[in-house]
Amino acid sequence: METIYLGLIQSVHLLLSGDPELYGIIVRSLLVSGTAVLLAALCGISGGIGVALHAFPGRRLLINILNTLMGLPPVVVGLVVYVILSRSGPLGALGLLFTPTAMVIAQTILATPILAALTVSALLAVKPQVRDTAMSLGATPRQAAWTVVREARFGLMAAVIAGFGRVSAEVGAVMMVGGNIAGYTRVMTTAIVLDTAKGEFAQAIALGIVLIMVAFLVNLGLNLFQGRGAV
Amino acid sequence: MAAIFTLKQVSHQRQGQQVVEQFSHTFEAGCSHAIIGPNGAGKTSLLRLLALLEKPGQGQLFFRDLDITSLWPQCLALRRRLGFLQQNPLLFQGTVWDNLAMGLKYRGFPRRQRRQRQEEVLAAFGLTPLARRQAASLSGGETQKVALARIMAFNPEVLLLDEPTANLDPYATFEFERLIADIPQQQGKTIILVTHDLGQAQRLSQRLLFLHRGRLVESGPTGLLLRQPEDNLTRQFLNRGLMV
Repeated sequence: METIYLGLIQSVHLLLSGDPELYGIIVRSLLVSGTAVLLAALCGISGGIGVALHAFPGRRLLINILNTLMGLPPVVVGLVVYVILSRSGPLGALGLLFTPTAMVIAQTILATPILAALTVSALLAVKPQVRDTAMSLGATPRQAAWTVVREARFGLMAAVIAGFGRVSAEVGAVMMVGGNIAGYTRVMTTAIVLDTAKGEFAQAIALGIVLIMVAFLVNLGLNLFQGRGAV
Repeated sequence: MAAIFTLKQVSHQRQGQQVVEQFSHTFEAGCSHAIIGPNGAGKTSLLRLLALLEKPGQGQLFFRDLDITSLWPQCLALRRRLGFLQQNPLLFQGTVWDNLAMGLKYRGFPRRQRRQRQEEVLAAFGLTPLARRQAASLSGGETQKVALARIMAFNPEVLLLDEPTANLDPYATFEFERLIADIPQQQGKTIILVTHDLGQAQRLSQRLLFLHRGRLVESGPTGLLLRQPEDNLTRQFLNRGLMV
């Protein structure tokens, strides 16, 4: 109990002192996860819109596959990306293994199916009457589809938040393809693992606090955004 | 009077059910028409066909002298001349002001012109105090009014109204009817109204159509048809309606 208490006190001190190493890790984590979610949003949301708003053979199967991929094990993603980027792999010549880029790639792969599946479910939850109303008001099919997407915007925001939550808390894949190199590929989750293993609880707790704070602030942002559109 | 819609032997199915059958009729332009009939008579399905939201399964549908069935699906320009108020209309997320802009945005109205139309229509419908209200916070009567104003903003030639007062209290119904009643005479528009309320049909329409199981049983001037229906089915329906 005393260890936790001391760790908490020291972590607050570390946070308030503006420790450059600690803040370097925080900024790197946000950059890596932010970039990954941005890329995943581009692929996942546009793919999800395509699946949700178009009828084609195998659509239901594809939705089932997307839902299954939401639970993609990070270590499997880490392994696949590692093999592809390793020196003997197909993209080994690019020299990306153990770089932040490799971490972004792994996190993008993890987040894309989450964003796509949640986009599909958000769009399918929009009343069919929305498209009908848009058409009756003179919308082209494209304008009507955009209106449906607009009506699902809070669901899409929630998908982005869920994707960010998933990748920012993820440790297995980034550890495998990033290597946890100090000052280069060390992010909050991998630093917490290392600090805990070394018994340096203060920094681990400080990073844990920041990780929770980030999740809280992102959710708060979503709530405020939703509040603007609510009654 | 010129025809606005002409239907020739139109039949239509929805989800495997015959909803409109061998329907032939001419709707006159600049006139108000009411469609009555029991539940499942195909009134809403007919209105959806006239709103060009669905292509008739069989037969021909003309808008003025244009054959919609051969033009389909290239009928956006024609659909933009119609205003369809659905039963339980849906307002989009956002404010009343945002909703009024939608039809104008779809038509590519420039911002300044859009604002001007929005302001005009807000004033005409007495909605100015509600302009900044979220659509989701409106009452049933207000929603109905905003939905009608949203249509009137783009000034359609034809108004298709599907039981517009079905869920309104008597005062809101009265107010809504007053808005509708002023439209055709002042602006030369055609109104096609689906209603269960015979009194409303009498108050708002010049021509009346009675539908039963997807078929047109009879049509004629509203007053005459209500007083002297020729068909037994119409007579039975009117007697029931009057008893209610």
